[in-house]
Amino acid sequence: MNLKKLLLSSFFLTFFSLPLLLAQGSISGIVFDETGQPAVGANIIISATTQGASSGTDGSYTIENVAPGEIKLTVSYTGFQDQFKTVTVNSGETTKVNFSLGVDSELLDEVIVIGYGTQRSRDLVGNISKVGSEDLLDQVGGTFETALQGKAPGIQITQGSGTAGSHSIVRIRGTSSVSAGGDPLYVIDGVPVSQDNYLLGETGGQNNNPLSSINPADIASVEILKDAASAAIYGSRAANGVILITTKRGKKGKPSFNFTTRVGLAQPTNVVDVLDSDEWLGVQQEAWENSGNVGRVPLPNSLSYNDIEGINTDWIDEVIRNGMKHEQSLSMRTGNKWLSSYVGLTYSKNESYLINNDFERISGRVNLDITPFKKIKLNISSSTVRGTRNKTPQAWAGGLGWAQSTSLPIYPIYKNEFVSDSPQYDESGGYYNIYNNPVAQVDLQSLQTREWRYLNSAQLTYMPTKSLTLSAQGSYDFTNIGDYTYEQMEWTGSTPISKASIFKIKNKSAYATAQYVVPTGKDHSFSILVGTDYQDYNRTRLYAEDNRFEGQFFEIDEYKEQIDSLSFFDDEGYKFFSLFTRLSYNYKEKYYAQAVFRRDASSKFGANNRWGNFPSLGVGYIISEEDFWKKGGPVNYMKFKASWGLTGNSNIPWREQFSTYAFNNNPGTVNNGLNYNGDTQYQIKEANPDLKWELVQTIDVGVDFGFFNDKVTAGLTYYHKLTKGALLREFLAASSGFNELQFYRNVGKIRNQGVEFELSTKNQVGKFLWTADFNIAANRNLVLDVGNATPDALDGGFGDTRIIEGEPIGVNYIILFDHVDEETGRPVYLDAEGNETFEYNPATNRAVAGNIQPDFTGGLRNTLKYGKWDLSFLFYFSKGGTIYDDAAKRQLGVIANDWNYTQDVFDRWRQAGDDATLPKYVNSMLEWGGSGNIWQNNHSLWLYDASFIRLRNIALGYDIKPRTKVIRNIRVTLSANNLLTFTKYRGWDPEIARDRSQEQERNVGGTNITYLTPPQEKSYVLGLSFDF
Amino acid sequence: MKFKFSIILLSLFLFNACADDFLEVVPDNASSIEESLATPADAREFLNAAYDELSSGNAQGGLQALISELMTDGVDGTDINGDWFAHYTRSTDIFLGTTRSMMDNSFKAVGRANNVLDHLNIIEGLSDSEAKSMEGEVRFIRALVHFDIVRFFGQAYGATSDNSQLGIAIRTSQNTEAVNRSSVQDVYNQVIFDLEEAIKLLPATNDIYANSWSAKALLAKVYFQMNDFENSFDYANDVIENGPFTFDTDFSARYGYGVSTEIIFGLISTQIDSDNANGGYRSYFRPDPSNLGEAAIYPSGDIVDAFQVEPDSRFAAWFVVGTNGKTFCNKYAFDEVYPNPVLHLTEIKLIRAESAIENGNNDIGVGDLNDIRFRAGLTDISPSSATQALIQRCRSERKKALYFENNNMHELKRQAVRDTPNMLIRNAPWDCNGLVCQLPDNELKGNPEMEPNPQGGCN
Repeated sequence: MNLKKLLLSSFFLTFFSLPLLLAQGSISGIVFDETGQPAVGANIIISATTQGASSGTDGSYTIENVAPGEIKLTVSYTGFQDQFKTVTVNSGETTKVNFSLGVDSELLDEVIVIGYGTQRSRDLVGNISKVGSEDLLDQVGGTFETALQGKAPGIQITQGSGTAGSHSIVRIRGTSSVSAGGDPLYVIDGVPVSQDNYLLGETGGQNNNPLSSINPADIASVEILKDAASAAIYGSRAANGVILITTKRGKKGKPSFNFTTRVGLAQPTNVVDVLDSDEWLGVQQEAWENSGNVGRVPLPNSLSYNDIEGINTDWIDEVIRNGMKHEQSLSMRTGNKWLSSYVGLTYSKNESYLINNDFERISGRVNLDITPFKKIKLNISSSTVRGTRNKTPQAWAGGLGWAQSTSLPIYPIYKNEFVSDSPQYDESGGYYNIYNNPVAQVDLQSLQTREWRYLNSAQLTYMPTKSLTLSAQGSYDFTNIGDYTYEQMEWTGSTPISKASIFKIKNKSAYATAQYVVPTGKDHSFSILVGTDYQDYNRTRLYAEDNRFEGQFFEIDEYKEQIDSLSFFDDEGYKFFSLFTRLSYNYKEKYYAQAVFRRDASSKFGANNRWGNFPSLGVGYIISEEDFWKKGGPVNYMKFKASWGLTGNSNIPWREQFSTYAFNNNPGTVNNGLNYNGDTQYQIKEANPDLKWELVQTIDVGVDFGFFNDKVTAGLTYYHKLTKGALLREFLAASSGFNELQFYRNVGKIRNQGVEFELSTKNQVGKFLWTADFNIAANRNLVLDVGNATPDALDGGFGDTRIIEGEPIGVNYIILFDHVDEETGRPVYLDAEGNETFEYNPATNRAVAGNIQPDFTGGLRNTLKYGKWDLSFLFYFSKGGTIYDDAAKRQLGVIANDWNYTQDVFDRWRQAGDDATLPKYVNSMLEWGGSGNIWQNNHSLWLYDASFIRLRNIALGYDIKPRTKVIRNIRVTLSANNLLTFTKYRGWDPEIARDRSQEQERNVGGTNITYLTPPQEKSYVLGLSFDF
Repeated sequence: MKFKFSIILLSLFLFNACADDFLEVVPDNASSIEESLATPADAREFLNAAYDELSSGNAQGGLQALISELMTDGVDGTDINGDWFAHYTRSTDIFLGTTRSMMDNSFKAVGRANNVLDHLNIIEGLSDSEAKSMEGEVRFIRALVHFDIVRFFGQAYGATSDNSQLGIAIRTSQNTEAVNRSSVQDVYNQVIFDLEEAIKLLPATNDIYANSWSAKALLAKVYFQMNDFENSFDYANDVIENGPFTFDTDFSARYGYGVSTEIIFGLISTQIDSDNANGGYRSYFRPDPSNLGEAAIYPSGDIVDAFQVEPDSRFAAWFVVGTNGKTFCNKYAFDEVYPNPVLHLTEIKLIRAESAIENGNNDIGVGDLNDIRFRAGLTDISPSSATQALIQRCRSERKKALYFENNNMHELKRQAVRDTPNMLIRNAPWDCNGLVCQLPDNELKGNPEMEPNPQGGCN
């Protein structure tokens, strides 16, 4: 509801009720939600008192015994803005006051969180997407960022994989960095939080997800700042976009509670069939004979055919399960004149479909808003989260990875499965071949990560006058992560061993702002914000292993004195200091202009480039406010926006600017094996005092529409992002003799440009309500300059992705496979000139065969409501791009007796004249034209279309609305995630985020490259929610 | 109010770069060359780090010896896979872990050494003799590495008449410049120049580090590889006649701890975190008890047969039948922490022997040869045999005595250049492309202009 309407209605109410002045009166009415449905459980309070009422199941309320006179009413309702009405109550009469929450003004008056403040949606000149709290709870015990997928245009989210608590790759408007981090900045209630994806290194599909310690149930809204006009206020950390997370706060009124309990079931989205024993032996025999051998193919591990009689282990079945999930969440919101509070408590246990993999989270949050004096406000936000993750190694490291590769169907789990006359037989059981046996691995090796995260902030606001607001916030974000391993004697082969790695992250930040609304007369509105910001991040690490803690994880802190092998590591840290200002102006809420300037200094930047300047300018024009605009026409709202700005990316390793040395007597450093006839010293790398942030220039133009009184709203945006001085991790030749051959230089140039479109329609209103939200974004990514770097210098880790000038980030740079030769069954490749050849030569014949970037991504959600029923379903789609299956060279490639194969292997050449997909089975890569190394078999035969459409979420809900005063509402929901996937990809799942160990690999080959990566999770969820 | 605000604003933004000291976060290991390399003791530590890298399994510690045998006729190819199989099949490409490590570890030693030479002038209190000696060590270290590496990544010396075939990048200072490959001739010229300088600069004794005898012995080896027998004889002869080394009476002594008297230049094993100078030698050939008592590599039948021609006492000492019925080589002790004998009198005597015979001095040559034969329990041969037969004797003795000592491949190529232009090495022409290792990506990717080797042609 806009200001005009509010004033108008108050005026009429006041006017008509003026003559009546007697004893006590009452107020009654109905509260409607934005769709015209009764709002159940809204709190209607008489301001400055505790007198009030809650609306019933029909939305009606009555407040008795109201003192006559002018009364100010406040209505608050979870998920909506507070609304105020001033009414006059007459003695002995009932004043009727209805509220319509948000109707036909949501687009304009929705409060949007921006950096260091809020704005009404209509006042924005930047490009910000907002996702509300109700959209963040798709998954049980999930992380909030995965829930954003498909819900806002231009935000590409690739879910980590089906492992519990795994991390997603989030890219806003494409990837604008190569070697610097590509993830957005996350700011929770004004605190830039730490987000170290690689703390624990690449642990076999089990990267740490720093965002998993944020409880989605506590989040009120997530705002995604996409363009420079909105993000430049975060300066050198804003180039990848900024995600602002605002947690729930207290509401005025009597305590209202919510208790939600949800249970769920997890399965893999897809299971790939591998060969059984007979099939496997058949493939082996065929290759053996094709390679010119006679007789039966010898078995691995010196096994005889007699030994394996009857053995046919389905390893995949041994490592997957139906994962069970449950979550209990209790929250309370209340508030009065002095104090508002939100208290949330959540416990969740989230088992994935992988045996022994789960994530447990206990989360508590207290948010207090204290108003001791009229002009002073104190906001305290405090959360404590305990996350415990049990891990099972994946991909190359074990689990489902082994189950489909090195765990052969002819291997038994236990030695007593062999035929009893086999020399391998062991009556007492015991695991067979433990390092290829994922069942033994789960049993003999325990891996756990335990995390405490405390995020506390206090903000003091002082408003000496109506137009001046002074604010200061201090915060402490502390994380203690322990990564524990316990390995039994059978696993280590010697003594049982306990390992522990402890990280302590202290992230302190503070900012102060002053906002002044300049008195400029009634048509002009001008405000100015100035501020300063400081962040100090420090991380310590300890590592120890010990064999005295049989059967348990051990805590380094408790046993520090007793451990001989305690390893200290260098503290890591960085600091930022910033100054910023924002000038906002509008004329008659029609013409808007906003300028932002931020100046950042950071310890990460080289001595020659300590300070950076980040300006932005945005303008807006609401043409529909013009007098000439036809009121009542089909287009009720139209706004043009344009912005330009510079933002930076400082997500670079913190010690890159320094020349570093290794030396023995360096306290606190692990320098094993450095001695040679006395101490040693050497230079690790050279200094780079010029190192600095990447600079991204963003131009953004857009138009927002409202049609038919906002029945249809739409937004269309074009953006152009140019990264200058992009950090490239270049390489020195090995012969240069430096210890560290890679070094960072600000030499690259990258362009992202694209179009975002979103459309929301209210197809049907009234008792049957049907709304649809659609968004689509197309991004075109191009690397314009890479300096002197060769393709192999800018790689994406294993999987053969590269950066090449004139191509998008992350091209599949491999040998082009052309066809299978019908005569010989040999693979035919193309050489550098495009001629057919049998030779596999990566030194000269590699070419761009595809790239990881999708052409467009988007989502479509329909929401249907009828009475107490509602149904919503969300499709997410990604079109274009290629998947490189890095394990296909073994699962479909040259036949060796140490791997299993997938069913697709049967589409191979057998005899002259065969037109087959796969070449002839042979035992040596030499026969496929390559080297003797079976792993060097990377070509476009293993490349697949990455397009897919997925039913991301479907949810059916029913509101019981019981006729009792105690419980206001009971809501039952039944939902499913990733229920259906439509794709041509033959592997596990087309949505792939592979575990990586550093930022460049994540940017260049983090998505769409798989190596036995576990598939996404399909889950079914039943939820029960009580409001009381 | 407006005015006040302008002042606040102005003062905030005037805050500038001179006030940013509080932002410094400096890692513990950040330093400058002036700080790190300040004293003669620092310089010693820098050089220690270079020797430490040389002693890596991937540099002098065994990998080169392994590849030299894999690519020729020294090992049994059954059950070999991965990178080793690429070497065995002479089909190396740019993505091999073996060649990456060899290049990386070897040149780290060069870089660390060069860093000292680049900055000798900033070290305070360094005496002239210390400075000379250190420069000599640097030149010796880089000559050793360049000589070894060019033999793997370039066609052999003498493969073309002017040796214009591409060799490797020559590194005479530690810097970030891209350096292209030089011709094999230029690499040898640099090696010879560095060694000649080192001989002048180095003292005759120098703790455990390279001394003038080390440089002379290496130079003898270089000239021998070039089939320059005048020079190889002179330097080998100098080392044998004038050096302080005595020929071990026990052929196994040089693989034992502190018992050999014939090591001219060795790399020590420090036993700190298994940081031993012979890691590769021990792990490739020795049977590993944790791997069902099987070795990673077995000698080929040719090698085993070579020891059977005459009753040779080295056979019983060096070859053992394992639990799996295969014969493995027991030459390198498994548990001993012994120095890695990089240059030793046995090899220098073999060089002098063949050089002398090539030069027509059969008496000296056969004398050396009989010293080695006698020690192995073999009968003396007569100096009056035909020259060609004596040369063959030298070569077969060398093959046995230096088995798995990074000799085989380079020696076969030398012989091919010398007198066997049609030589086949395990069925492949000695100069086929694949008998030269492809440069690894870590050498190629830093420099778009660096040319890879041609591949294939051996199968």
